[in-house]
This record gives sequence, structure tokens and C-alpha cells, in this order.
Amino acid sequence: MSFANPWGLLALAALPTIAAIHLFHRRYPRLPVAGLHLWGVARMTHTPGRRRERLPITATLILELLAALVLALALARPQVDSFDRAIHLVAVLDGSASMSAHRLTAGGPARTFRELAIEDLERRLKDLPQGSAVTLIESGRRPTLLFGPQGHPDEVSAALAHWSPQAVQHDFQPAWDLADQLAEASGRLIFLTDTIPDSERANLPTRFAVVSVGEPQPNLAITAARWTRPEDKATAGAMGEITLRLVNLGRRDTTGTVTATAVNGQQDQPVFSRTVELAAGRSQPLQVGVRPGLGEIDIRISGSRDALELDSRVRLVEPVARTVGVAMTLPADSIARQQLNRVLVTLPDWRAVGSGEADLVIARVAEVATGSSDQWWLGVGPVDEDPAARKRAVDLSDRSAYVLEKRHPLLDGVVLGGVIWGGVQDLAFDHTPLVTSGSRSLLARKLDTRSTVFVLNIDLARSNLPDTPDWPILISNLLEECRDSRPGLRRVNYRVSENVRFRIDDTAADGDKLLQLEGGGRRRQVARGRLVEITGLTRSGLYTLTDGDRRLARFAVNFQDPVESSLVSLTAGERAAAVPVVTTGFRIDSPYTWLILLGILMVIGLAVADWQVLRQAAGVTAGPLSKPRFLKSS
Amino acid sequence: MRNDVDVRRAADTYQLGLLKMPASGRAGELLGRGTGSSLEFQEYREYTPGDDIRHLDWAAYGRSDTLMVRLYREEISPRAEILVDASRSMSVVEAKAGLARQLAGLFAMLSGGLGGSPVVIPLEDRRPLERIGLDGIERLAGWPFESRATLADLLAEGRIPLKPRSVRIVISDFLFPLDPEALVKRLASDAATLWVIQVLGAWESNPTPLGGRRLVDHETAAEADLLLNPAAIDEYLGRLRTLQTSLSRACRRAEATFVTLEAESGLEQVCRDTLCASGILRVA
Repeated sequence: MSFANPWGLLALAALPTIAAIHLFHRRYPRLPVAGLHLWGVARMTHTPGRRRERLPITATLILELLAALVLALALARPQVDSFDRAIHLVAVLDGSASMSAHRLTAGGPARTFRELAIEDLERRLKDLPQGSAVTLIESGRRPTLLFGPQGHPDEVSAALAHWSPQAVQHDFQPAWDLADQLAEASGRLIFLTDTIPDSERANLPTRFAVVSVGEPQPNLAITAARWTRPEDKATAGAMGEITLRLVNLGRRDTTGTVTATAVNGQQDQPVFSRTVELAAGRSQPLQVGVRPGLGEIDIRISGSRDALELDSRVRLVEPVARTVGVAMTLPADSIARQQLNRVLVTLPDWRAVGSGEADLVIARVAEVATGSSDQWWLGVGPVDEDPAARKRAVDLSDRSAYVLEKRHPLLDGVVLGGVIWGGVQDLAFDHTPLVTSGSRSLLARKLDTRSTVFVLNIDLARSNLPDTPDWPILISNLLEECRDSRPGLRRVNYRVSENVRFRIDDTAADGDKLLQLEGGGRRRQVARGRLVEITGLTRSGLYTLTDGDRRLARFAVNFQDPVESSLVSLTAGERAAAVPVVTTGFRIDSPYTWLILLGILMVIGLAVADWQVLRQAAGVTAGPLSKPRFLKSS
Repeated sequence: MRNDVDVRRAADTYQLGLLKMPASGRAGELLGRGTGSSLEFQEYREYTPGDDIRHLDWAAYGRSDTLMVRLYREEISPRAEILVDASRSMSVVEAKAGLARQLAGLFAMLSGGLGGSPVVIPLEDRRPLERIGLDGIERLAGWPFESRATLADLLAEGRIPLKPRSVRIVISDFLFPLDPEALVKRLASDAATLWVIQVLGAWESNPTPLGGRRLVDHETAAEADLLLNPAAIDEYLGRLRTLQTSLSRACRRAEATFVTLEAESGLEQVCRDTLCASGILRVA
């Protein structure tokens, strides 16, 4: 016999407690009488010395003990004959999105592979001996415990009802390892999937049996989706553009219909509808212009040969321009200003503002801020504008330049080949060099200020840097980095499993409570800070980040995984475990279960022995229900 | 006990309910239950060999041609043995012990008043049992009722020194396991007269519901928890009535008298209402 909840046996401690109450507790006031035998009750005789009495076995005591025993057993849930044959079944459920695909038949979509897997699993659960336990693990980037560990098989259905496989392609190994640990030595392991994995390549543990319910299916998918704003925002009627990549992942050519609907409050508004011919195994781009101001668009591709709905739908949020305010305080006739203006006019999403409200200020080195503003600054040389100092400045060739911080975002894509670094001076303030030549810093970040200040330690009048391809890249990087440092989302449309990282304004950053993220059918909390990072987005959908009643961000997450969308290689079948599992029973409880039982039995035994010994010592034969004897033969 | 006002008043008011002696004959003698050699004629019966031929009624032989023997009531000496149950059960309420003391003193004084030699025997654990004469009855006033031995135990062990042809008065509550038939038979053996007096407390005679109580036997110290509700009381009273009926029936068979007294009623009332009614006492 075993117990599903052995800790419930602790309730048996009530037995000696009840006995002790009956043994030591005087319930009634004493009443001296002359003929106790006439009252028809049992006698309890005192022994001299310390007062100990024989436990009075009354109907009340018996009923109370029985009630406590029944309650304890009910709590412990005894399972007779299950110890030797009970099985701990640990099932790993493939959480891939392909498990949500329908099995297409001539009559239309039939059941999904998920439903087939559940059916197979439930059939196995019915065959489990009484007392068996079940653990369910869903695979994914991080394996999830769906049910258990070691739960009752009758309660599995509720967990399976909530199982919704939507994961992108991932490694099953973490889920297998977790299952292997939970199964211990005697557990039975099973992997329910839609493709039998290659044991050698997948490193599947040998104790795993594999059940695959997949079948090759055709599928239409949107593997990429992008919404771009109008190029020329100043032009009236400029159109934004939605770019889609449509894929026919079947073995036959087919026709699909792409429909887009603007989601505006409670009312949906058709945006466009296109019919596309898709060749077997080929992808096809689709670009459609859309007018600005739609907000959110729901796009679907439908066709008769589409087994998986998850990858046939994307939701896109209209991108919002994040304009950077740029102020330039360089002298109007300086060469540096001309060279910078030449680049800035080609870059999008910035506007000229005064230095007080600017996000980025381009100024002479002598003018750069030393305060606590969170502005970005670019100080352009010469560092010391004194003629003598300018005369002492040196010109350096590209061969001597060394990029010290190759992974710095400001230098992303910058080559600096053939650059003459003219007018280089020594820097007299604390800085972090980004590009150096010997002991001289050519491009550096100033450290003695809270503002982000970069110093270009050259005299653009003496350098050919503005004439190289690196110049617009460098200024563009600076502008984009400055833009990223401003509050707000860098992008609004993401793929499943992408991390969303962005800054929020000071007002939201200084709050006490956690931020609330709602989307993908669930709600979660996000740590508050100037930099917010949201990870583990495994469900597609529209997400909203709020701070109380204030909406901080809204973005879309879409399932876009061409590998997972491909259903043509799915296979059905079963493979037994390479190493048979000896299911000689398992421990479903703590190792102290039998110690608890032993202790309780000892207490009961001692109580009975105590009662027996005292009974003999008392020499009383009259029982509580015996007939009173006032007639005594002489 | 002579200083007890109630006892003195009762002694002045009553006398023992023994048979009266004949108007003629020797004075100072009392008559017993058996056939003897007194001058008081009792009855006839046929002659059987061995009978005293002095008692043959020749006139009756002449009339009926049958030898008849005249039987005369035996003459008894007025010796009284007063057995007082001195067990702890008699002191469960003070009134029981008090009435038992008063009764013992009263019977001793009444017996002494008839010229007899009364003996009071407290039935206690001490061996041999003490015999208290008329001169020592004052000791009864402070007699402790602490014995654990019961009347039945002492009789079974033969430790009670009973004199033949004595007036035997037994005072007890009889609330101990006993066989009434055997007990009374032993007490009545060789006794000229036997009076069995049961003294009970008022609550013992007529208990009232008290709820849950731990009953402690005052004599054996045995204990038991019981809910004193009407049902339990009815059962108790049933057993008590059975005991009293059995004692009464056994006494009738032994030509003895059995009465039950309620201790709280007081000596005066029990003498007037119960003892006189039963013939144990009569007004002097």
C-alpha cells in the first residue's frame, strides 16, 4: 500500500491526542457515591502513588478514534496494491507551433496534431496501474512544467486543455534533460511530437520512447512582415508600405488570398486584398502601399492548402517617427559645419532646433557641456583654437590610427581607411578613447559629465575624413544612437522570442510599482527602470505596456519562423525506448513516509499495551456494557 | 449518646417492639420466636417419640384418642446485638453516619432499659471486632466510619461473634455487592429476633439529574464517568428497588423485619413513622 499524500498521515497524530485527552482529562466533577455498582458503569481503580489510570474504552473514545483514523486515511489517499506496480510517467510534449497544425483531409481540416497527441497520451494514462503518477513538460526555449511533478493521472485533462503549442524552432534537449531528472531511475519517459527525431543527432536519452503523430502537410505562411512609413512625409498623400514574404511550404502550386484589415477600436476596416499564385516550395514578396494613420493592421493569408493558422497571420503596428532634435552651434562659415550639414540633410527623422531643447548638439570642443543634462554632444576640433596650439597640432595618417572600441555602436560599419587625421591635439580632460593613434586619441568620449559627449579631435579643415565613406556612416550612427537613447520603442513590430528593449521617460522610470505588460493572452509584470527589457515573448499578439493608466508602449509580436512553418517533413510512428525501463515501483513520497507510519504504529501499539497492562493490574473484569452485579453469591 | 437530646427523647418515648411477656409468670423475661419451655401456650402438634412426656395433653388424648403435645413459646434472654456498618459508604453523607450512631445508641439504651445486656459491634477492618457495652456507648458519638470491609465480607469470613438467641439489629446501607438471601439467612441464624435496617441518604433514595459527573465509590475508590440524566437515574432506581425488594423478601422468609430509613429525616421522624410502623419500636 502507498499513499498519494503521505503527509496526510500526520493527522493520525490525533489518535494518541484523543487517547491522551480521554486518559488524563477529567471531564466531570467528582461525586462521591456509596454504591457505584448500582449505576451500571465500569470501575476504574486507582493505584497508590502517581495517578495513572487505565484508558477507559468507551463508545465515545472508539468513535472519535475511528473518525480521526478515517479522516487521516482520507487525507493520505491510500492506494492499495499500487506500490509494486505504480508507474511514474514523464511525458515531454513538443511545444513547437507545428503541433498546432491541422491534418488536412479531403473533407477539410481534421484534428490537429496536438489533439492527436493528447488522445494518445490519454489512452496511455488509462492503462496506467492505480497509484501511478504523471508529469508533463512542454518543450520550448525554456521547458515548462505543464503538470506535476508526479500529479494524479485524473487531473491531467485540465492541464492538457491549456496546452497551446506555439513555440518557434527550438532545441528539445533542455526538456529531455528535465524529464530525465524528474523521472529518476524508474520513471517511464515518453516524447510526444510530430517528427521522430534522429536519435544520434538529437542526442535523445535512451530511456525515451517516442510517439510521433505528425504527417506531411502543405502550408502557407507569412515569414516576414514589415510596415514602413512614407519616405517623403512632407508630400501630401504619401503612402506607407507593407512588405510581406509569402511562402508556399507544400509540394504543389497553390493560390492564396492575402487580406489586410485595419483594427480601429471595435470596428474593422478592410485595407487591401490580394490573390497571389504561389509556386510549390517558393517564397514570394508582396508590397502594398497603405495610407498613414491606420494604427494597427491584421493580415492573413488563406488557402485550401494551409494546415497551420498560426503562421498565416501577422498583426502589425504602424511605426511612429522618432525625430531627433539637432542643434549646431559651429560657426556659420566653418568648414566643419558645412561638412556636417552635407551629411545631415541626407539623414531622415531629425529636425533643427535650438541647443536648449536639442537631443544632439554639435559644437566646438570648447563649448561642450559639463553639466548633468542627458543631452548628446559632438565636440568638433580643433580642441584648442589658439593659433599657436593649432600650429602645434599634428597630422596623422590612416596607418597609425587604431580602432580601440571595435564593437562600439558609433563605429559600426566604419572602416577609416585612407583617412588623414589632421590637426590632432593632446586632450587635457578625462576621456575614453575610441580611436587612437599612438598616445593620442582621435575620437573619444568625455567622462567628466553626465551628458554623453563625443570629441572628434581633428581639424576638419585639415582632414579628409568628410570626404571618405566613413563620414556619413559615423554621423548616421551618432544620430541613431542618440535616437535610441530617447524614450520610446525603437521598433514596434517584433518576432516571437525577440527581446524588446527600450528607454522610458523619467516620469515612468521613477515609479515604485512594477509595469504591467498585457498581450498574447496573458498578463505579466515588468521591472521598472530607465531601460526596460522584455524577454521571453513566446506568444504572438499585440502587447501593451502600461504604468497604471498610462500606456507606455504598444507593439506587435508575430510568429515568423520558416523552418517551423515547414510541415512537409513531418512523420508519424512510434519508437520504443532503447533501454527498457524497469518499473518496479517508485517512491511518490518523501523517504520519511514509512518512518511516520512506523512511529504512528508504535504509538498505537504502546497505547494498546498500556491499556492492557493497566487492565491486568486493575484486575477488573467488568466492562462498560456488562450487566452490573449487585447480587453476589456468598 | 446519652447526651444526645434526640436519642434521650426517643429512649423516653419508645421501647423495643419485642413480644410482651405473659401476664403471669416470671418477670423480666421476653419471648422469642421459637418453641421453648415458657408457660405461654403456643400450639399443639402430634406426639413424636422423644418429646417430653410432661407436655402431653392427656385431656386431648381422652377426647380424640390421639397423643398431642402442648408446645410453649420459648423464653429468650433480652440480649441485643447491634451490628453497625462502619464502612466508608456510611459516611458518604454525614447524616447517614449520624443516624446510624443514634440508632445504635437508642437500641442499646432501650435494650438496657429492659434489663438486657446490649452489645454494639461496629463492623470495621479491625480484628477482632470491638464489642461495645452499654457503658461505652458514648464512644459511638465519635466513631469513624472508615472501614473498607463490608458486612457480607465479614460474615463470609466468620469474623462477627454472634451469640445465639439474641435480638439482632443490623444497621447498614447495604450498598455493596451482596446476595440478599444468603446474607439474611446468616444473620438470622440462631437469632431470637432479627431487624434489618437500611439507612440511605436522601439523594441515594431519590437522585436528581446532575449532568456529567465522575462517580467515585466512597468505599472502594473506584471511579466512573456517567451522565446523570433521567435515563441513568431510572436504571439506578430500578437496581436499588430490586435490591430492597430482595432484602425484604429474604427477611420475610427468615421472619425478620426489614425497613429503609432516609437519613436526612432525623431520628424522631424515622422512629415515629417507620420504626413504629414496622413494629421495631412501640410507644412505651
